[in-house]
Amino acid sequence: MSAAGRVISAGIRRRKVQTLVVALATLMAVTASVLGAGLVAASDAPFDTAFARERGAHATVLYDAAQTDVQHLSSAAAAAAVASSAGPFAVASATPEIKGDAGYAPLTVVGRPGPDGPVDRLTLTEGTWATQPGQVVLNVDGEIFPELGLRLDFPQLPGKPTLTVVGVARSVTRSASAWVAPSQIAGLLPAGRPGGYQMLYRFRSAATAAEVDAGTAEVNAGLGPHAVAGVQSWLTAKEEADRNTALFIPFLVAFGLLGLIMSVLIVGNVVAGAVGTGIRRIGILKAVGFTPGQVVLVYIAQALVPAFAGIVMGVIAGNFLARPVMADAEQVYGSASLTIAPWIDLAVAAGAVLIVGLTAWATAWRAGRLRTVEAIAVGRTPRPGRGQRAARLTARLPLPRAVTLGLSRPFARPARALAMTTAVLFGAIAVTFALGLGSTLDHIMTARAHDVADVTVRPGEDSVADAATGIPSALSARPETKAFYGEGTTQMTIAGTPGFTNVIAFTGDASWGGYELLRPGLDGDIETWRNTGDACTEEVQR
Amino acid sequence: MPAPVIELSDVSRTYDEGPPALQDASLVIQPGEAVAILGPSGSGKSTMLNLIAGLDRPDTGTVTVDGTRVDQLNEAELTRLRRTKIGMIFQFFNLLDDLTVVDNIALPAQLAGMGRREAQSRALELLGNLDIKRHAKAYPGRLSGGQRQRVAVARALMNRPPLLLADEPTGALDHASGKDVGRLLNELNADGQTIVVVTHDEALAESCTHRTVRLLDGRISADTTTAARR
Ligand SMILES: Nc1ncnc2c1ncn2[C@@H]1O[C@H](COP(=O)(O)OP(=O)(O)OP(=O)(O)O)[C@@H](O)[C@H]1O
Ligand SMILES: [Mg+2]
Repeated sequence: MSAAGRVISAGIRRRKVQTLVVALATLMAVTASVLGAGLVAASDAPFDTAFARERGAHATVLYDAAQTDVQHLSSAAAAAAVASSAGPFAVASATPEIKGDAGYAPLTVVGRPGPDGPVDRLTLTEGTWATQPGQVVLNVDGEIFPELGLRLDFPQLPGKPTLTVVGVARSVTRSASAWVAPSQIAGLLPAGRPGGYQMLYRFRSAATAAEVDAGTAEVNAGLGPHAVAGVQSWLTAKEEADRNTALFIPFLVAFGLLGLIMSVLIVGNVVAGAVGTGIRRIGILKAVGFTPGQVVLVYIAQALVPAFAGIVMGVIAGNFLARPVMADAEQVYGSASLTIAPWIDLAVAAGAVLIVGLTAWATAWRAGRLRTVEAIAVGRTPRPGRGQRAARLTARLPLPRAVTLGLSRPFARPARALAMTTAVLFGAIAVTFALGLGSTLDHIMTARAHDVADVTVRPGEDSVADAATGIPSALSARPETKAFYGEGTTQMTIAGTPGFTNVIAFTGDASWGGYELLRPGLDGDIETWRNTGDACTEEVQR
Repeated sequence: MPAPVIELSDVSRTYDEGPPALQDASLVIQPGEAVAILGPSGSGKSTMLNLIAGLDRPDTGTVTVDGTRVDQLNEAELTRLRRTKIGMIFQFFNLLDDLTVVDNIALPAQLAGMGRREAQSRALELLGNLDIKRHAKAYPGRLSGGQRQRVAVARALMNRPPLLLADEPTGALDHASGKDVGRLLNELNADGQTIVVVTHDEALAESCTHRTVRLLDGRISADTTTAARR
């Protein structure tokens, strides 16, 4: 081994604490950076990315089975505008009952042989695909909380079929609430009703509503006027997804960036510290016959070897930890199977090598250029200069000497003190941010659950009339009642909005229950909604 | 008369604050001499030695070592000069704590281009001469002060430098070890090694040198030959 090699390996092996600290700091920094950069990258147009990867359908068209036939649909897929298509899949709409509870909205059940295909690839998040009769796969984003083994009863249907949940899947197109094996659909149709077919189309161009409409018109040309039962454009789902993610992206990006900045600061600090404490050793090396260039080499190597171990372990740990975090991000973004891109691993590793190398180089280069006598002396006595003036100033403060001595130290090494302060600053920001975000989300969850009331009373069928007048006056009469409100729920269809809209009626001030009046009522006052038969409209924001 | 090993002419050095640490010092030392630099604390002894070793640079004046103008070299050139021409011994040894004794000693030779095997065998030979061969595989932290200073002497002699410089070599040692080191220097000089020793210790000066340069407030106040050159 060469002289330099011997000194490097001795420096690494015999200074275990320092080597370990550098390795650990790099490990943590790289882990945080992989996670942070992964989140930042994932937050870049997550819907579009997922939509492209899962080959989402630009148009999901539902056909009335009585008005069209399978051959016709298959030939429609050959239209010039169509890039690829899937289907036709048989569709049924059925209302389930779960554990005797009939209060569920109808499910759109699609018969699909498997989760893959040229369009709308489904990601199984749990369980397996439904291949046997009696099995069903639920949409993870659907109305029913997906749970393996859950049984859905359909008592109104002929034969009262029951389906058992065997899998949970995510569709970037949201093409169905549930999927079953194709042969199963017939059993989910009311007697004498032919059901429908679903076709999934990807068009050559579908960036605007006009293009989607044109593509849809082309595939549907030649069909009877009642053949098309419904068309769902991907732009609707995109708009909704973008609205959701717009809420979370700033937080995830902020967390990612905070992680990255902290990592740079901490690694820089640790490496500079490790090299800085070696200045006396650098002086000795120079006195023995190391040139400044050789000194720099020795210290870069001494920092890079443990850093390298840290980087390798950090990349592994980062990817490992990314799994649950990315799964959370998947939920937030509503997109399927996010992973850390390999270029992120490479970029983070390269960045870490660069930061460690540069910091070690800069610190060692400065030390290497010190006059050797000074370098040897540095380890023994504090260096004169800015630190001395600060020491004289702080010494005058009316504080114990031990405190004033400590106060002057940061001024002797202003750059390192600054880096340390910034690291602490960002740490404080990150903690504040995390705690704040946590408590805000808690608040939101509590508000959304609307269950802050100490007691919730559900009147039985017979006492509904009573609920409007008798119960409120009885409650008001009791001294222990602080506040109360009654609520009634119904579902309403609003033209131009897909699905149902929940309408909740209150008997009193419900603001403490997590409800907030964002805009005053139609006449500037919500009171106008009080009486039965009052007209009500909704302003839909687009 | 052969060319001098050391030639200082009108050398001055002032640190950032305070009076000059060394002022208009001129000094010529011939090969084979053993010179003691004596003087009270703060009189500029270490400053003078560091200037000769090229560890520091003069503000004015010239420093020539073995025919090379030390004051004109850059750091890398100084390093190369030190490798071949100068051996240094410090009061606090300045050994590398993370290398074994034999590796510490071999280091200067390896840096000068000698193969590891050859450097190790020469290091062991020197350790034998200095009577500390049994500590070859130990780390310096395990040795006594006197033993450490012997290791430092061995390291300084590794490249057979024409000039051996020592700054308070007995300053951190007890009386017996100090005497030991003095005897060692004496023997080296007897073999023709040029030696410059900075010391407080009049007895050490007397035992191992024949010429005494006295410093007072940065100026040479006396330069006396105390014994015949051997
Ligand atoms: N790096 C430095 N910066 C500022 N002043 C210094 C420095 N090194 C030495 N001095 C000053 O220069 C003067 C001479 O110092 P030097 O170390 O040469 O003295 P010395 O004779 O070796 O003393 P001692 O016997 O105590 O070692 C002293 O006044 C000292 O305070
Ligand atoms: Mg001194």
